[in-house]
Amino acid sequence: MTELFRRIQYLLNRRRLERDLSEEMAGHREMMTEAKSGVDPVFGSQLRLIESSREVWGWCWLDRLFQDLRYGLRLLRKSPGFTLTAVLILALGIGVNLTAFRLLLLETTPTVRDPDSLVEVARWFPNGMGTTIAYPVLAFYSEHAHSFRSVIAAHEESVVFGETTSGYGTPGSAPENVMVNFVTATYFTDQAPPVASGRALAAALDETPRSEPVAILSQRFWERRLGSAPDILGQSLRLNGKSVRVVGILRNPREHHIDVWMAVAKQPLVVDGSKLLSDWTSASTHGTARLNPGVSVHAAEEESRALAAALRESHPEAVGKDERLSLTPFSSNRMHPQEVVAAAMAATLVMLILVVACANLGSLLLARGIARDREIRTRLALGASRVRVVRQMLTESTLLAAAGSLMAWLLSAVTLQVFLTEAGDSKDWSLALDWRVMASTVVVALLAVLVFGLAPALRLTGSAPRGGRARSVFLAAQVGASCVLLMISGQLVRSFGELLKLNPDFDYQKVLTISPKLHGHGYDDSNAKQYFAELHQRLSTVPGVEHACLTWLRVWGDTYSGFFDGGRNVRINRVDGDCIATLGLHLSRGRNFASYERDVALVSESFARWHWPGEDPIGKRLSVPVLATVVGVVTKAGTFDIQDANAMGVYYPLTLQDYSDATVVIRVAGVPGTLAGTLIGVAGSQDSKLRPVVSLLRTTYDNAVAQSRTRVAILGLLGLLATMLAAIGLAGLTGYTVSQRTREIGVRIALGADRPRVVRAVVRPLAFPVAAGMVSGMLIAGVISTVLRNNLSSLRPADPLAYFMAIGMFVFVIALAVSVPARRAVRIQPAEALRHE
Amino acid sequence: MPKVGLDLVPGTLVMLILRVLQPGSMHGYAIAQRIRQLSGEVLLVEEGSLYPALQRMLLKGWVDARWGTSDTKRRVRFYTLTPAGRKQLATELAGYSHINEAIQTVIKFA
Repeated sequence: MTELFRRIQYLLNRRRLERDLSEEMAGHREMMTEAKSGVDPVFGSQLRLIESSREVWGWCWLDRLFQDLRYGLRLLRKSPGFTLTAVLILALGIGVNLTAFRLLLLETTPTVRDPDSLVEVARWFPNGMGTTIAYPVLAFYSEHAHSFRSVIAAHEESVVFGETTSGYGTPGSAPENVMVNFVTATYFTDQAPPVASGRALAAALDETPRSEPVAILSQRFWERRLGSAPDILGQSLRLNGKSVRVVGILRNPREHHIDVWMAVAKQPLVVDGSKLLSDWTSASTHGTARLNPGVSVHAAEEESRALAAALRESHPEAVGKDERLSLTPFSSNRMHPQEVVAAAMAATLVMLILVVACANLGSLLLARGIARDREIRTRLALGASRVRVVRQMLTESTLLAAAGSLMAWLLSAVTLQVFLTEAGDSKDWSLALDWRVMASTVVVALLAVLVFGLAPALRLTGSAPRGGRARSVFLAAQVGASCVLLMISGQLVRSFGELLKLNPDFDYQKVLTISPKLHGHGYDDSNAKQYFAELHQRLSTVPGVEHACLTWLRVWGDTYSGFFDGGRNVRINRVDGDCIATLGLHLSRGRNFASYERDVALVSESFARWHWPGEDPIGKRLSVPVLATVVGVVTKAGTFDIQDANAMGVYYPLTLQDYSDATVVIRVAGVPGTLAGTLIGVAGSQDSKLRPVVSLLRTTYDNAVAQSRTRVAILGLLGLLATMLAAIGLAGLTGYTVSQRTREIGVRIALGADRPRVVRAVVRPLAFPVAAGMVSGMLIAGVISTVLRNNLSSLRPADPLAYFMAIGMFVFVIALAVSVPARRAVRIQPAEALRHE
Repeated sequence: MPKVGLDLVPGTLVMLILRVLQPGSMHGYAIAQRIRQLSGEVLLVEEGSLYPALQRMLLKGWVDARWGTSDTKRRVRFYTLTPAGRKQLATELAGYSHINEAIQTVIKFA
């Protein structure tokens, strides 16, 4: 310990102490000459003695490091072109990895505390599942289940937003819709991140009958719709015409689409006539629960089975036979297995970019090193040890890696910000400073140094410093990895490209939906039917409305219903007889049903093929979930899932109890957007309580496509990057080969070699590694895409066209990259070449 | 009699310096002279090799160095044994005589 202390003290006072030593030695020598005794005493080389005295203190490595750094910096400054290329290549290679890693962190970082004990509550029936639950039922479980420490209820509803009392927002403009999440106060204690400013909802303050209605805003809503008004806390918003005071702001919650949070207890105040809190039958609330410590998911589910049976005694309408809860921990469903595979694949591709970048740099360094052969030989001849020279070269690589990773770090921070802003999040730089990101940058950079720096350094200082084999290996690796990247990304781009053109098989462009949410406002079934009958009358007088129909679940909405059929999910909806015409679905066989018919069904071709393979589905009986006879087949049931036009779906006739939840679908003649205002007026004028929500299918579609477009863009960029890296590497390598062999080529030309011969001489050494790389690349790409196909249903089956396109493009780019230096070789003048050194 | 380089007996130089410093502090030149005289000019080939050894002893904390003035009015650095240095000398001497005895025994009776 004290020894270390003395060492450090020496380091700090090193200059003075070394001066002391040489002064002391000089004094000693003077005294020796003065004494001049009989025998000739020898002092020894002062320089060497000072050197070995210095070594005693153990700081020489530091000196050598500084020496190496200085020398490395000088060398890199001397060839700025090389340095810039190398840093760029590295920055891209590392940057892509970093960005991917940060995205992964962003996706997987739990946004809730202790995600293992927080479970999502769903209803389980012997023949299906329900993701939502009636509020009183959830409250019943909350009150009676011992497994739950707390239960969170969340009911999302779109409400109409007017300006704040003091004039924020856009006064005078048409009212907008905002998404409100009506939640219990437990939402803030157990699920949401802490509020950024103001306060969260609290049971004692906000859930009593006498408490005033207050709202928590999402930061995004506050920034975008309220212009980041600084004094927003304490101000009032008008929601559905009711005044609500803002008490807090929440930043980056899990539910990105929510604008406002309010106490579920105050929901009836905002939504006129709502029976949310007392209606045992309408399952419209999302449940989440915090398990008590030590309670397993299974135990909690078993308890819920007993509770459900007990509830069935008092409220038979609320609970089905053998119903129970199905609980899924938050920790388990952050990523679907499919997503995991996709992420692993993406990680592989992204790592490949780094491999390409490293191989690329490795061959560049090798080529450059061969040019530096004379310098290296001289240093070795002057007595530098091999280790010392290798260390010096590694220091250079480390300098490159440091510059590269610094740039990569900036690059990925900026990319991610752009990405997140695009995705609608608020700016958050904390991720850039995350220690895991920092650590991984360092690790990746060090790995890169090892890969691209060590091999050439060893090769060049070895006894046969030609580097021929190392170069071939680098070249093959680089070509192979680039090839894999290009082919996979090409294939993915084509698959996601299909999504860009995703064809719902009906003309959604001029369709809009109106949801008056009658049930939410206290309508019963017959009132609702009455309302729609009147609305239908009024709509028929609006110019531009071509067709109108009713559906139970909104087209492309966020509520699903369905059943399992042989392990696969089949979606259902109930519609009236005009829907085929209004939506523009295509009947491929059979007939449509009329609104008054019962026990009939239309099925999608995909379902018919799955359920009755090779048979005519017309006239077949379906027994689950209700008895029905198939009367017709639609080509595609594209109304269910926007991403999957081939979804299996069944349409049944609308029943009386569907009316209170029903949505009107309208096909218009002109531009749908211009009619929206009129239609809100028409639908709302029948009852002043109502706040109908109009949505354009085109908007929904465009949002879905925009997501795919981002993916296509990213994948395309990856592929492009791979090709570019390969091209840069090859061009650089060929260029070096040519300049290295100038004299030889000159001799060949002088001896009468024609152009093809010269080109062949230049290209031949590259041919084998490039070919080997391409073949192995294609094989690996084949394996990867098979794995991908098995896990991503949206990926097209084997796509030879994409393969050939990728290979063709790759060959073209390689040829282009090699042709520039090859042309230079052809133009070599023999006379000059012989003088060339 | 041929001169024996100290490097033939590794580690001995440090022991000799410690021993020479035992009676009191000395500067480098004096240490060299002392070793030279006492050993009959056998042991010290390069006087300068004192200094790396002294640096090592400074690092180990066996000696202290302080600038002062010599008898000939010259600015020199005086080295003084520290308690740790005394302990080290004792250890080394014990170890050395032990080994020496063993070697002597082998030489006499082999």
